[in-house]
Amino acid sequence: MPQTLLAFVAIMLVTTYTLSVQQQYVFNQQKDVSREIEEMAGSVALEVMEVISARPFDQAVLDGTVTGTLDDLALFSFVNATDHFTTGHACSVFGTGLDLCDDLDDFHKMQTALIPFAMGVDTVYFNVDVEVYYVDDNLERIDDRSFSKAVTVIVEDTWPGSDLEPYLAQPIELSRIFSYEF
Amino acid sequence: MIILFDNMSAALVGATVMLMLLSLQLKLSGMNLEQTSTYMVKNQASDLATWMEEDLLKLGENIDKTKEVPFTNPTDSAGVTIDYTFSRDSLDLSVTPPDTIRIDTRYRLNKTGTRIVDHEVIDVFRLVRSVRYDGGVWQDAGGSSSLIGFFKIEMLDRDAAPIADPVATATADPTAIHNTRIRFSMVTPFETETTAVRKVYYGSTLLIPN
Repeated sequence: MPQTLLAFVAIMLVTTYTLSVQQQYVFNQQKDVSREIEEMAGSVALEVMEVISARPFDQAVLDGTVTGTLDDLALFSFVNATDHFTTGHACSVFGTGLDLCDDLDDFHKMQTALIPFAMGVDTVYFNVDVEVYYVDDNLERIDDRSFSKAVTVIVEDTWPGSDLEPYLAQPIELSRIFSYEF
Repeated sequence: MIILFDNMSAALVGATVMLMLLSLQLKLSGMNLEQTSTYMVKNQASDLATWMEEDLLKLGENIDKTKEVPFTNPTDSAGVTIDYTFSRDSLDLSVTPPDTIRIDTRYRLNKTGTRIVDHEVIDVFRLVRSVRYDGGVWQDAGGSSSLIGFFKIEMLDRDAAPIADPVATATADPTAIHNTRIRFSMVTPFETETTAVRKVYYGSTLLIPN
């Protein structure tokens, strides 16, 4: 009888151990897949940032009203402290509409873009959002015009046509500061 | 035998425990194999990405792009880029006038065989990097492992749209090409039935220096 009891204790211990190994296995697989999705999301974020960085600093630069002096500050776009710039543009460059989006801040809280990461026959899709705001010399957000704008690209995987939740635990964010040169 | 029959319950439970331990051992071996395989290919992809980025971020360095185009059109075949050459100039400012040496870098994709990935046969390639100095002979200067499953180089405009004929476009307008985009995938060197990651992907969009 004692040896039977000991054997049952052994089977319980092994069962517990098996369960923890199985959990570790699932965790590893999820981590591997997430890491791959992160890699792709980072690539998409970089590409979107390159598109945005090819635009002039402000509409005033495009309009040619700037003079290359400190007085240019007053010419820069500014809406209010909550959203420094107009939101909701449907930027044609990302295929969401017909808005031109030809300077940095036109991308602020634009309509969410669906960007594919095509790799031969494999394609993964990502939702892309952008936030733009003014920053001071310490690169902290400042609710007023300044000569620097921070652009943050937020990327999260999405699976059109299915009920799959995003693999990424949280979206990838890529930030870059752009300064007005004069 | 008599001992076994005398302790039938304990024998059965003991045998079950042994079987569970054996299957657990198999599972752990499989897990280690997958992790090693994924780590190896990630490592190789990361190395390849690093030196390609270093190369491509110097594309056209010290070359007057209004006078010449510092790259050739990427040559594609069956959806992958098989040949791409680009140039930069070294610059020695210690002499007057400054001395330059033209450094051409060439990427060639050589098919090395086929692999079965997720029950699908795919071609695998090795990227061979060659350099030449001042128009001399091409010398091999590194390469990737033979595990590349997909490789593509594209030249992009300011909207990140690929340009069909980059050389003609850059000849007409030297500022028209903004970025180089590289994307590749590598297959794992070996896999098990339950391997979650059978290919690793890499992509980057690199600014062409002015």
